[in-house]
Amino acid sequence: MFTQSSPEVHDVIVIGSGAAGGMSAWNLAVNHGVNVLMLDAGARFKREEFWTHVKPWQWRERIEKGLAPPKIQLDVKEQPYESKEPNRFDLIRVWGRGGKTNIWGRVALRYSDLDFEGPAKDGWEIPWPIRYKDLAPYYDKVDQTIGVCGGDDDTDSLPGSRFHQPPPALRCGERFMKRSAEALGIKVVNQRKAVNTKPANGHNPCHYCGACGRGCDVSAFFNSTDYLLDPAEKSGRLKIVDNAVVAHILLGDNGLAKGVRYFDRFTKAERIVYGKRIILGASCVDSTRILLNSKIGNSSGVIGNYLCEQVRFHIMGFVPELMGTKALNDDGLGGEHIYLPRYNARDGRKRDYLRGFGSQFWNTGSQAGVGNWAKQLEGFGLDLKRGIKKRYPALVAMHPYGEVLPYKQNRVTVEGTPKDRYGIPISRIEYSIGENERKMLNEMYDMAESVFKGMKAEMVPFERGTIDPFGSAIHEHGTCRMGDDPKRSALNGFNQMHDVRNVFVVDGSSFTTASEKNPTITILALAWRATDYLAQQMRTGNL
Amino acid sequence: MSSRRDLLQIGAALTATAAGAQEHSHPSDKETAPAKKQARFFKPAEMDLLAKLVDHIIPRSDTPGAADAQVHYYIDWQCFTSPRRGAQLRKDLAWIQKQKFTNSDQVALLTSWSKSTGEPRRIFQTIKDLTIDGYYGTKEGLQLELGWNANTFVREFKGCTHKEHA
Repeated sequence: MFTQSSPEVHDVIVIGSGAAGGMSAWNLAVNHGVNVLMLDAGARFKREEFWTHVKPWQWRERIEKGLAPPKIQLDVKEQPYESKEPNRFDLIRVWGRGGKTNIWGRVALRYSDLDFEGPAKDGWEIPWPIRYKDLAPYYDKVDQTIGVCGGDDDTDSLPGSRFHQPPPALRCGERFMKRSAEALGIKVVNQRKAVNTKPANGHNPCHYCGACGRGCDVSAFFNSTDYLLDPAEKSGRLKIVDNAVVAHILLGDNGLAKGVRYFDRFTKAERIVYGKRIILGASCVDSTRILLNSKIGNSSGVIGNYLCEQVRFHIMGFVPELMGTKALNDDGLGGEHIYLPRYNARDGRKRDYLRGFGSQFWNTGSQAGVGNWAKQLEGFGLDLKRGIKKRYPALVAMHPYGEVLPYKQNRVTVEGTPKDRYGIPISRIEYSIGENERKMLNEMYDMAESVFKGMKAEMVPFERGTIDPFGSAIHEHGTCRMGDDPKRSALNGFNQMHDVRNVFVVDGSSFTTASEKNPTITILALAWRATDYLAQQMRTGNL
Repeated sequence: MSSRRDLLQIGAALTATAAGAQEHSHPSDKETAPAKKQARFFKPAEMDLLAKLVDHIIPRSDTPGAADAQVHYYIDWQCFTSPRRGAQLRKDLAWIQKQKFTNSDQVALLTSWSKSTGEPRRIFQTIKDLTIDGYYGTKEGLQLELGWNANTFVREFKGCTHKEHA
């Protein structure tokens, strides 16, 4: 087959355009004056085509007319992966400009030293090579650049920020849940979200339509395209190749990476581009697949292993004081306005498991649907209709997230898997949780039930111990982890490969552990720090 | 139950929201007249039965009921796009007819099925679930009945406005 290659040798090639790739490209192009070539597996999404202000009944009418909203998530039929029951792992991917930042949950929680020091203290599995002080200045810069709203809280498990924009008001149900948790001695704070609540850096403020999951039509929440890639392109130092599905990183005779092989997503034409440095940010599982198929950087044997994310479940109920009240517009930022940070490391609390959990609270108040609870009410007729209406404004919900430890057997592999449409082996994901997570889940359920009991809430029936399908948090980490020991890690503390020092891996795969927190703001901070380091190495001629 | 006064207030609120929404609108926002409903999966007799069933599950009060909101057409669409589900529901409707539903005390029959176990309960719950999904996604169910008034431009999010909850 003919392979088209360009003789140009780029200063830096960035693979992936989401939070990791976007931040890397922006920092190098805008702040360091470096020329960057980006390979993106998709193309730009058209903001004007998002179905943001489309009511549920209008949505149905459009579907019946044969229309469809823009397809943002990658169809697994286009790019399959293997995962077998009963341990199915849901892998959500976005191939297109900005990646998952187009539709992300926007929760922006800083890691703390409880997270960074945890593995060194409890011995599972390897220590992080960095601490909060290493990342704190980058979290500050990220907050100012992308716009994060939140409160002024600052604790051992959730470090504060001086740069938060004003948090939104609380919904009625959130006030009750906060009060109930705090009566148990569990602090609840303003949720931190990468949403502008006031105009900032030329970005619009949120207009509280609550449709963030369909993509924001005014770009009020951080997405890599508007906040990073567009300014980087304007600098004249970033060139983006659309629909470039990367297959391999190519190694030269000197042991350094020399380029990237990719396929055009639609024509399947094979192409090679050359570069002096490669930054991989294609998201955890896809980056891992590229590395494994490239057979590079894995003298430690850790690449692909130690896949970790969070266990979570959902619990709902109704606050008696809110039953029968008038429904309010509870959309807000879309998602919760409060957060329950990890607390189990304090006050000499005894626990029979490692690490911890926090809780989120989305879907509280009057929502655009009732199906997830109303079907469980008994009966029919006017009684049912009245019962639904009475409970409608009183809905409260908790969604605790607990850290899953990194286990070697939780892994991404490519050996012996079927090939994709470009002839490249697909990923196989093997995943399960262990005794540690089951013990933690017990306490997570105890905590959630106590908060609901404190409000005298009427519970929506649930089965204790039930958890969401694996992967549904969309927080994959750990398969190309960083560490000080090259025998047990693939990257150093600057996301640089131990084995191939001109390759940096900057997405969630680089995390040593998963924590109980959403990772994106930490990915942004790590990518900024890694590319500062890379730029400095370039200036001194080391790379 | 809402009074006529409440309904008028809802109407006024909807008008006010429409004015506010103009501050931030899109070509995609414009509400077009709903197309005339047409069954695509079920036969007329089956549609008649479905309409009766959904109306029992969520009847008209001072707001429209499920049949008013044409929820039976929503169910028809679900079955049209999922023939497997449609085939099962067609069998379920045939079973209901065999119980002489049309000529019986329909409320008594539904009550007995709702409290039973096994097949009658499954059939009842299937139709109830579809009715709930259908009705509370319509303008009649979500906006008029429940008072939902969201997914729109809001200049300031006020959150809980009840002083007693502060």
